[in-house]
Amino acid sequence: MITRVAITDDHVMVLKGIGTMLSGTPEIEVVGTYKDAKETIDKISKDKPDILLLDINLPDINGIDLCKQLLKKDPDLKIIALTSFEETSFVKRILNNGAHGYLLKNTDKLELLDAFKTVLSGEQYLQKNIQKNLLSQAVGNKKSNSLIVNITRREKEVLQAISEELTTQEISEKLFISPKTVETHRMNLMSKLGAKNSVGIIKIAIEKQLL
Amino acid sequence: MDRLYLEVLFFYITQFMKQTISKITINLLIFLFTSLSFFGQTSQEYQDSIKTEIRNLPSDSLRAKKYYAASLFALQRLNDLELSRLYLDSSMHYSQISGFTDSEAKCHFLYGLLERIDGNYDVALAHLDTNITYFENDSTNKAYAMFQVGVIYKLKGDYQNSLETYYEILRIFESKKDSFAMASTLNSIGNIYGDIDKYDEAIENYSRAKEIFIIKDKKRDVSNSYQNIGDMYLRKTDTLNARDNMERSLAIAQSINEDYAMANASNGLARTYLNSEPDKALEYYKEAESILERIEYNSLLVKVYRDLGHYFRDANDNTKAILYYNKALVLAEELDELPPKEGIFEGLSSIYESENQYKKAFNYQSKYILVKDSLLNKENLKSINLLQTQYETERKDKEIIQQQLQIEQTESELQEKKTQNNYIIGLAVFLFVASLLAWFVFQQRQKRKDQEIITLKREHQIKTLESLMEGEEKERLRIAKELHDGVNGDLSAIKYKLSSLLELNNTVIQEAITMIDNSYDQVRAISHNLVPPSLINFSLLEATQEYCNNLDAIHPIQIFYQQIGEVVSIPKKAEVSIFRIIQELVNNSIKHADASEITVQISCRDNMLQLTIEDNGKGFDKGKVMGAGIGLSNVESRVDYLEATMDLISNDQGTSWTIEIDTNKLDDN
Repeated sequence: MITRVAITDDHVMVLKGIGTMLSGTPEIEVVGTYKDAKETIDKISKDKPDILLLDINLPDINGIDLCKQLLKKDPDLKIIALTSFEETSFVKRILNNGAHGYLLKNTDKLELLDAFKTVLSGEQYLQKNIQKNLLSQAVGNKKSNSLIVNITRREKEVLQAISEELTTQEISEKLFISPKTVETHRMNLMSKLGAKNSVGIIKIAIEKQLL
Repeated sequence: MDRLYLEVLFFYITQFMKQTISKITINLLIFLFTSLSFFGQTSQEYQDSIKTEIRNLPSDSLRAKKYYAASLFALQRLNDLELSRLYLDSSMHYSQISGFTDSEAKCHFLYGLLERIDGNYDVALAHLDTNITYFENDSTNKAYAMFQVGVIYKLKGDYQNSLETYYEILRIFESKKDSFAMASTLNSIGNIYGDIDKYDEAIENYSRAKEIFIIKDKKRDVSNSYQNIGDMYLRKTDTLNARDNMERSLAIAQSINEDYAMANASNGLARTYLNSEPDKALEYYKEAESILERIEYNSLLVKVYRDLGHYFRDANDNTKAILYYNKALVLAEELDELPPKEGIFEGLSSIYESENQYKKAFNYQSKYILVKDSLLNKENLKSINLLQTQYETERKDKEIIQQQLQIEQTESELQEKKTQNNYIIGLAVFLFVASLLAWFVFQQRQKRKDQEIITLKREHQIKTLESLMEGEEKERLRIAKELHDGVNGDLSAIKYKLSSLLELNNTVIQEAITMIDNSYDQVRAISHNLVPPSLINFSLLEATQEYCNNLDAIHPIQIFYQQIGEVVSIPKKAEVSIFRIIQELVNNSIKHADASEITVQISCRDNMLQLTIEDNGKGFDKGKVMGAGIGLSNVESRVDYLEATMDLISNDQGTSWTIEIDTNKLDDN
């Protein structure tokens, strides 16, 4: 069974490069190459590819939005993002929009074919680096939101001042900062500690041994 | 007239000397003796003798005294006014060079006397005033001079001042309890009242004088007083009272055998009988005539002759009348007295007229008219003087009123000036306040203008900065895009192509592909560093997070990112600026702080975006670093552009930046 592949990229060399790379593979057939989102939408229904290699950076609509549009029209289409962006924000966004795989443009033939196989089997394919990034970010976030509350130095000073029962005005005079800034620090403390007022801040701060 | 006063004066002085033995009176006494010894001498003889005496005197003050006495003698005894003045000048000269002020003052008295006789009343008064001022505390001398002043006023017809002067003299004598002098003064006062036809006042004063004289037993003066009183009654045409007084006068005169007084009284009595009993009148006239002829008291005798002339004329005894008239005329010529002549000429004229000797009648008539006129002139002069005095008094009053008016005017002017001054001060204060206010307003306006200029400058700076940053960002974006899409795309394409040849020449191509992969990574890194794709495509928060994660992954330093509060949307340009700030500050920490932890925190709440970047490194010296590095100055420029506030603490525990941005302000840009 021949897999029908289409490519959307505004860069002609990429289109041709991928075409050349896949030409030596008999079970893969490149059925269409599109330069922008418009061309993709226009021609994809006629070409009926199984898999679309979609660049995020397009001249008209970005690949993330295009992904959503295409899948809405044809839910069976497998879309693999092929882009230079390795930022997790891109990854997350396009995956949220239903993309089935994410590849960076420095990919090679083997990886590409592996990705095709994976998505066609109904699974998600993420390049190793991307996978690692996503994972580390999730772990990092967990770390910062955990029991260890990261309080900035100014916030610590404000916390100290609050524990000394100083008013906002007094704190602002003591730390040479505006009352509004003091308020911001206080709000930061409240949200960081999960407190509802100054008393709560002190209580939780003592619990967490910040005071 | 003058002679009469001189006589009165002399009488007065003699009385005086008897009363008070003072330096002056002694001098006068000496003078009197000397003068008596010279009595009868001719002027020339006298002058010669004086010369010799003066030469022999040892001092100037004595010479002054001698000359003074000589002057007085020349005046009274020789009746030589010129000589008197000459001696007086000498006396004054010696008084002055010897510094004998007493004598000098007395000279002024004598000058007064001489000037008075010459009719220079004002000059005389000036001299007398000098004398009075000098003898202010010597009441005797003062009274002496004032007596002359009273006489002068009387002569000037200024009876008011004259009276006042006499009354003052009276007071002086009263205080000195000198009753005799008082009586003399009262006598003078009586004379003045007689002159101004105030007979009752005259009689009253004469009577007071008389009472004193009676007490003092001065019979001669008592007689004289009765005589004066009688005279007044006669002028009042009260013949009975006149006669009574005249008879008393005569009786007293007879008792002391005083010839002059007797003659005077007889003359008076004759006049009282003239109309009622002509025979008795003639009898008394004859009595007076005989006495007077004996004592050669011509001044009264001339009047008696004249009256006898009248008497015989009225009795139509023209021969006797003419005889008496002629006798009278001779005496009058001798005495050079005008008043008796009037009656004499008139009598002679009427007699010749009745005898039809018209030429003589006319002749005497003309003489009569001449005398009458000159007498009238004298009278007129007096009344003119009086009028002048009154006029002067009025003028003085007017002047006083004018002065008062002037004073009032001045006062009102002063008041006006005061109010004017007040106005001026008020105006000045007002102007001052106004100018102060104006200055303040101007200052305020200037401040506002300055503020505006600063604002404009700032706006301009911001615009410049903005366009600069915009240009930079654009350029970055362009380069990033070129690298990312262009070069990287090409590299990918080359890699794909080579991949297809992999089977043919495995090792070489594999190497090439690895190289391409490296190039691709580098280009991508450069591109993303230039412009973070997530910032362009998504938001500041994501870009920051991405950035922190990437850095955390590649550096050994732990880099935390935390976001608190709402997710706000802010303009891309502002996001880019904020991201650049974060990049700069985090890079600084990584490069210079030797920190093990860096925290990036974004907190949004109520349109306030707070950015905190902290490290636990070694800190830096604000003064040294701020403004020095291009990076930090870029941060400052961007903070300015964002109209944000920056709070920095840096010490050995690390560095903490707090930047607060009002997102409302960002919407304006």
